[in-house]
Amino acid sequence: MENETITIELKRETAVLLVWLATGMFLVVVAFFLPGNSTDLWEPLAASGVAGAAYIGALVVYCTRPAVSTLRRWTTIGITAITLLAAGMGWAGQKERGQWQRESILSIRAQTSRAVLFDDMVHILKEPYEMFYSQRGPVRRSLGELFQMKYGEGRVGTNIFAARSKWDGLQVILTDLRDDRIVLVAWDSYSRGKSAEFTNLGGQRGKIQERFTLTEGGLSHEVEN
Amino acid sequence: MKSKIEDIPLQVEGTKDELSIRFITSFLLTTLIALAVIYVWDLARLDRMNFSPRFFVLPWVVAAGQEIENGLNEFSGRPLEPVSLSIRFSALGGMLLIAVLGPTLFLLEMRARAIARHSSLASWPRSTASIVGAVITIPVVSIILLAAPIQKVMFYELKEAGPGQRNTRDVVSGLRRIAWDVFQYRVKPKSMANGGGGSVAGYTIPPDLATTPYAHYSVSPKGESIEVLGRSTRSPSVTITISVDGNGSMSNWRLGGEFRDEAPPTGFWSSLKRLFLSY
Repeated sequence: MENETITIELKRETAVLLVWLATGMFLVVVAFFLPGNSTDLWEPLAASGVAGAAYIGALVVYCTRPAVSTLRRWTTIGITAITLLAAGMGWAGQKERGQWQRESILSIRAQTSRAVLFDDMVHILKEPYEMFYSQRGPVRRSLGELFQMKYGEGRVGTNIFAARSKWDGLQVILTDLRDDRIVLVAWDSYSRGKSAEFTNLGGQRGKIQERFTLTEGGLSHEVEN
Repeated sequence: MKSKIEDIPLQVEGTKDELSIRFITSFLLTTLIALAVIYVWDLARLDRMNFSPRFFVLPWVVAAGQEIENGLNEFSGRPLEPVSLSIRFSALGGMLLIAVLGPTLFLLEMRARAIARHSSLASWPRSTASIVGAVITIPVVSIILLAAPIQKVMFYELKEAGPGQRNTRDVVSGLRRIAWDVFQYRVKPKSMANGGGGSVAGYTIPPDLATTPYAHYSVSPKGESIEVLGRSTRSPSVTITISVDGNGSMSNWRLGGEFRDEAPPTGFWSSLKRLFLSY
């Protein structure tokens, strides 16, 4: 009789273990998939984390109910609470750090794009400017004419920049061309500018955009976004 | 003794009704079917399966890694895509391990031991389960408790170093503008304002380029080129010196100073202070 009783008790505990495992897995998995798939994992993890914490809470209450000593109960509850708190802190820290690093990466991209953009503009404008001042003799061409000689006529309103690769998002639009003035507006379709609300010349929103105006007096440069 | 023997069968009868094999089987079956449905539904929504497992015990590390990868994709101009199935399952696996499997095995075994109904070595499946529970839970709890403050300090250090590096890039940005200005000076005739007539001799920085929100710049002639010194306003120890020729080409880069506001103090108390400051 006693042997039979022990066997049944063990089966019962195994059954309890399986029920707890199945319930916990079900709750955590359902909560994880509930927010749907997006480009990051924070929402699914937050939902499943809340479900997991609730599950652990219930499990601790179940496992420390009487027959377990008061000291052991409160020790277990205390360690669980501290661990959950530390997990929450670790979670929040990783989220903050991940987002900060992402922002830093995008900030580096924007700064690099601005540097490359400036160098490309200088490359485009340098030659006509130098040619303009190196002319000798009575017949001299204007700055606008020299620019047209280099880049072709009828290009106002068009992109005069040839992308280096498919990941090169730089666009350079010749917005104004006169004898004494060349205006180029350049933007990078992959780099975030200062304001997300800014509408770029190409219709995109929030990308970096800079304006370069070359006159006989020199270059003026304006950061538009 | 007699009354105890009489009590036990009553408990067992109740237990048998409440947790019959039929109930357990249908419960597990329902759970498995539900999980399979979720899996297939999710699989159908994804265009492709890119399996590159990235398993970490702490699932939020996987999420932070995904966040940084998103940043790198944006950096490269690639469009952001939904998180791949393998990465989602890596995160879910970690969550199941630390929130369900480890605590369940560990706490139920702890209860069984505490009320001393039997030892964990009473049967091999249970002893294995208790070992697995302990192997998962004890290191995970230790990692969680240790990692949270360490991560915080590391992040604080990282943030401290960040502004110095960002400021350095701003200093370089001003140098590019000055390089163009030197070229412009050399090209323009002497008859014009700020014209060098073919030489960089006599070049001075225009006031709007000499001081920017990020740096102060000064120049000194050096043969046929100009030496330009940029000093960060935020991190005054950060200096960048370059040579600019009449064509506006920059060369001979020299970096000076710490790439941060100040060198971090070392030692236990300083580390402890930084830990508190980071919170």
